[in-house]
Amino acid sequence: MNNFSLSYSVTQSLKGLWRNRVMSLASILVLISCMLVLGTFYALNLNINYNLDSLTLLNEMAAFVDEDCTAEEIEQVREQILAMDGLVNDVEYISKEAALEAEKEKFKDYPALFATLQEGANPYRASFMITYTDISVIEDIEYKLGQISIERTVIAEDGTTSVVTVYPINKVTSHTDVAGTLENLRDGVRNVLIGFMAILFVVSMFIIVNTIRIAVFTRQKEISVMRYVGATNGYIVVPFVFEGMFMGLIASVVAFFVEWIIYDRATSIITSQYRIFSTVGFGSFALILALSFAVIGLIAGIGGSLISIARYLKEKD
Amino acid sequence: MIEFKNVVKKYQNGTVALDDVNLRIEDGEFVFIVGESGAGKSTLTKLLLREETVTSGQITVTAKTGEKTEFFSLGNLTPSKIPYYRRKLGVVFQDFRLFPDKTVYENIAFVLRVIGKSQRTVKRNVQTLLKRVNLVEKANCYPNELSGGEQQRVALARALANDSSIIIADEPTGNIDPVMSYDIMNLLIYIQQKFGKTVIVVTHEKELVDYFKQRVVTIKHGRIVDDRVGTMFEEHPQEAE
Repeated sequence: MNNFSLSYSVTQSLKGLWRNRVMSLASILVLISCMLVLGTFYALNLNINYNLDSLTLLNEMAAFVDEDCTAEEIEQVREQILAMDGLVNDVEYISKEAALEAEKEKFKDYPALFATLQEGANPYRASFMITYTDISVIEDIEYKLGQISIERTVIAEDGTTSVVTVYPINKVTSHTDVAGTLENLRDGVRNVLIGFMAILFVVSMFIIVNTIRIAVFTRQKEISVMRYVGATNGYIVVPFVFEGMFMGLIASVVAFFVEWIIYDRATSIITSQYRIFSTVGFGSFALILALSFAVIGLIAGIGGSLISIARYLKEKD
Repeated sequence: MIEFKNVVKKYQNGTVALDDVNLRIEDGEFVFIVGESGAGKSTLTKLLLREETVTSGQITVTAKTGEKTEFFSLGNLTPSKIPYYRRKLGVVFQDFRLFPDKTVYENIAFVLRVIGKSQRTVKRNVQTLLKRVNLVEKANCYPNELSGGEQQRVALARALANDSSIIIADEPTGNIDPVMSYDIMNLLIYIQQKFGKTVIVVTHEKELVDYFKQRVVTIKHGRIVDDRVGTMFEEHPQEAE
């Protein structure tokens, strides 16, 4: 493309945008809304994941141990749990006393809760706090915990000794139900996002196709002269492709800044009113969002105009 | 040279617009194609511009651009080759088809830019063409500031811009006054004689045709009924009088 072709195409495309400004504006607005829906769901998904990852209760389970276990047996059990390769990240033993102290610390503002406990009484049980690699391995770990065994020497009343096999883990608590619900929520958000995106993308393509069709119609006479003087289809098509491209780019730039403002407002409201939630900073995903918007805008704009002008030229050939 | 061999054009609705047309136009000839409305003149032009394709028969065009001679068999032209074929033709329309938002200079320069000429060549050639059609002082005017005759001269300059050896003028005097019509026709004859271009003028204006006494091909009901040099063929001259 020589200098004239480029400047001609850019000038013609800008003129076209202005000439059909109402339709162009409608196309740009639909594209913006498509991008905003995408951006909002993407940000929502990011924040859900961020909050889920920070919830330790979802990747921890408690395995309660037999109260008769000695320190040596506890260590044996710990080693067997750690030996579950690829399933367990970490194991921490919490004795009855440590459990009680932890609860007292947690509810230190409510001392009345522990006031009724008799001296030396401890309703808590010793446990292993197991951090696992993934929610999907919970059932596997639970099964393997039930299989853990130790050999214990028992002295009978008559003084004879015997060795018995003991299964020291007698109860496991995990949060599979909560984790499952949150996982479903995450999938739901993603599916809604894809659905919305697909619908809005088709709508924006449709509007761009029609906008360019009007642009082609208003320049029919010019196109016919171009064809008579020997302009190639490529030469005729380029200004319309630029027109679609400009619509896409304008939409992506506007959508990016609008998304930024909305996100900042929304996160400041959420974090001030619901302190339980923490949010991801806009800067951490701004680049990928900008690139996604630009790609969507360009595909919709260029694709829409190509569909429209190709159809017109095919009819004329 | 342009040659129509046994050309038949039948439209999808069954209308036979051209029926077994045989016509040969030599390089540098001036030819009037005449006939009543619906005779087949427009179809002949459309076939020559490769807007339409023949139903049967063959059209061949040998075109010269500078020293280069190229041969085209219009039935075998692929869509991608059509623009390059059209660059060998200069076309003038009844309604001028000038760009209203471009000056006279820009209207002519546009053709040269479309075919990829450099800025320097564009400037030089447009000046030459403006002199040729006597419109140098109107270079910066817009089409709506010109008379019909002047607009057609701009269109003619545009048709000459790509230095094609064949000029096709489709009813070039249809939208201009009689005095200007003679002016335009004189210009076309001048171009044919001075630069050796093949000029085909499609018209139905008898007085004009008779005045210039060139080769006249008459079409009626899709067939060539007369081909002569001089005045227009008349079936019943006594009735016309």
